[in-house]
Amino acid sequence: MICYLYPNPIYLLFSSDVPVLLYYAQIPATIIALLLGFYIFWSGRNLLLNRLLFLITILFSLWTFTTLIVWAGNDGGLFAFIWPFYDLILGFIAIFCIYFIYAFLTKNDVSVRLKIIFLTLLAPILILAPTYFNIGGFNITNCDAFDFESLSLKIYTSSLGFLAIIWIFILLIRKYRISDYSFKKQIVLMGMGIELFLFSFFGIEFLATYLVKVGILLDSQFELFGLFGMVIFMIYISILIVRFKAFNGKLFATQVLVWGLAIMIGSEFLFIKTTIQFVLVGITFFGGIIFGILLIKSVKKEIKQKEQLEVLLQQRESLTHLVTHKVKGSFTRSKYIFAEMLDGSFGVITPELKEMGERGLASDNEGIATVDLVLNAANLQTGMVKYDMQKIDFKELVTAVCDEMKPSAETKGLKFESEIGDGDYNITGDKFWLKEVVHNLIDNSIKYTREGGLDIKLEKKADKILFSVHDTGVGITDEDKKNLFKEGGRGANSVAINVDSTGYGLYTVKLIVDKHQGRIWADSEGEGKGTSFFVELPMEMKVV
Amino acid sequence: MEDKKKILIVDDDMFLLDMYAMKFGQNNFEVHTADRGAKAIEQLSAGLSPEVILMDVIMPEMDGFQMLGKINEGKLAEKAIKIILSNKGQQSDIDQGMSLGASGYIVKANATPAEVVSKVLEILLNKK
Repeated sequence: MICYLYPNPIYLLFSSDVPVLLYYAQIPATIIALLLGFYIFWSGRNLLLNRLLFLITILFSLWTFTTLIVWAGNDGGLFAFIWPFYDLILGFIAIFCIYFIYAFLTKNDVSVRLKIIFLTLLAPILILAPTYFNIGGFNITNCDAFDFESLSLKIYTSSLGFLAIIWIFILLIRKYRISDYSFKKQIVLMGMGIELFLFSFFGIEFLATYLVKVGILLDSQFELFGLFGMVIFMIYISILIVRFKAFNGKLFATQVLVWGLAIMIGSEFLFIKTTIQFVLVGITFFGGIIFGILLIKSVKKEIKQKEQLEVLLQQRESLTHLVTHKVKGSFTRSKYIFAEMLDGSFGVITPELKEMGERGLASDNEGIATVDLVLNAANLQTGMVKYDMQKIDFKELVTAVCDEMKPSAETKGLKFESEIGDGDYNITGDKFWLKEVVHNLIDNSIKYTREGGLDIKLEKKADKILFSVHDTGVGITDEDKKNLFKEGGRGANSVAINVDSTGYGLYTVKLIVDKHQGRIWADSEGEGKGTSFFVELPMEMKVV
Repeated sequence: MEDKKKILIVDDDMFLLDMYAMKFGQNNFEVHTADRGAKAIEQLSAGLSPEVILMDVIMPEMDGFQMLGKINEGKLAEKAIKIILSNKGQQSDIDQGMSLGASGYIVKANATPAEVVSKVLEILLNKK
C-alpha cells in the first residue's frame, strides 16, 4: 500500500518531505536520553531506579522512532501498524515516570496493589489503541489516514500525562516535608527535571493535536518543541549525578551533556542555506567542542580532587575512630580510677589523696570535653554529622542554657543578665547542635571574662532572629579577629587567659551556624574592652 | 534478702570490664562478663538469661550493634534489657542502637562507674 505522492524514505526515517525541525528536535534529544539512560543502567544494572530511568529513555526513543516513521513514511500498511503504538508509548511513559519517582523517593519497589492500579490506568489504551477507535484506515488515493487521532483517546492519554504531573508533585511535596536537607535538594532537582519533561512532553503534544483538530494549525510540527523537555530532564539528571552521585555516574554525565549539545549544534548543518550561516554554525560548533573538552577536563580534575579528598576524609575518619577509642578510652580509664578511689572502692583514703583524686577527676573530665570538642569539629567538618532539622523553639533553648550556665558565671563573681524578646522564636534547626552553639558562646564569654559580667540577648529582626552574647572580658585584637572562627584559630589573648584553649570551640560554632544558613560574627573595640558575639539565624531555611 | 539481678557485661577493654564487674558486684548484681561479642552470644545460647545486657560498641570481630542484631535474630535473652555503653556518642550511634532495640545508651566517658550503675538501675526501674 505504497503512496507514490510522497518520496520513498531512506531507512524508514529519512525523507526530504519531512520538516528539518523534526530531525533537529528528535535526534539530539533521543541520542542524549539513550546515552545517559544506557550508562545509568550499565553502572547499576541491579538497581530498580536505574532500570526504570533506562526504560523511560527507551520508551521516549521508541516514541520518537514511531513519530519519524509516521512523518517520513509513505507506506499505508506500515502507518496503520505503527500508529497504535503511539498512544501506547505515551501512556507507558506517564506511568513509568510515576513508578520512577516512587523508586527514587522510597529506594524500594512499589506494592503489587499499586502495580495493579498502574495496569488499570493503562488498560483503556492497551485495549483501544489497536482498534478502529484509534485509526480508521489509510486512504491510498490522498495518502492520508482517516478517522485517526480519536480525540477521546488523545484526551485520555494526555490525562495520564497530567495525572502523572499531579501525582508526582504530591509525592515529592509529601516526601520533601519529612526529608533531611540534602535529600530535599535532590527532590527539588528531580522534581524540576521530571515535571518540566512531562509538562512539555504531554502539554505541548496535547496542545498541538488540539490546535490541528480545531483547524488553527495545519500540522502538528509544533509538538516537536515538547521533546526538548527530555533534554532538560537529562540535564537535571546529570546535575543529580554530578552533585549527589545519584545513579553512580560521574564524568559520563558531563560527557553526555557536552556531546549532546555538540550534536544539537551540529544538527543545524542540516538546514544551512547560506555560506554565512555555514561559517557561523561552524564557529559555534567548533567553539562548543573546544569549550566542551575544557569542561570535561575540568570535571575530570574536580573528580580527581574529590577522590583525593575522599581518601583524606577516610584517613581522618580512622584517626577520629582511633581518638574515640584510644584517647577517650584512656581518659575514661583514668577517670574511673579517680572516681572509684573517691567512692571508697579501694579503701579509706587520706585527705591529701582525696584532694589529688578530685583534681585528677576534674582534669580527666576536661580532657574528655576537649576530645569531644575536637571530635565534634572533625565530624561537623567532614559532614559525618547528620543534622536533624526540625521546628524548634529557640527561645526555650536559650532560656534553658542560660539557666544552666548562670551558676557557673556567678560562682566566678560575674553578673549574668539575659534579655529575651517577646514573641515566637520558632525556627528550623537541629536542637542538639544549636544548643552547642548557645552553650559554647556563653561558656566562652565566662571563660574569658575576669570581672564584670555577661549580657545575653535574643531578638527578632524581620524574618531572622539575632542571638548575642556581650561580655566585659579580654576582648579581641584586630589580628585575632581574622582567625577567630578558623580551625585551631586561637587568639593571643585566649591563650594568655586560658592555656587550654583548643581553638575548636568557635570553629565548631561557625560550622553549625553555617549549616543553619546563619551568620556569625564578633565585635570588640580591642584588647581588654570586652567582646560581643552575634548569631543571626533565619526563621525558615531555604532549599539551595 | 533481695534476689541478685543478673547482668552480662560485654567489653573488650579488660580494665573497664573488671571495673564494671567490681562496681555492679558491689551493688548486688550477679555479674557475668565477656570480652568478645561471640563469647557473649555463646553464653546466651547456652542458656544464660540475664536481666540486663550491657554492651560496648567498638569491639573486634563483632561490634556491639552486630551483637545486638545477632541477639535479636536468635531470639536470645528476650526478656533482658539491652543497654549500650560506649564512647561513641553521636546521635546517629544512639539512633542505631535504639533502632536495634536497646533500652538505653550510656556514654562511658560522661559517667563514673557509680553513675553507670545508677543509670542501669534507673532504666531497669522504668522498664518494670
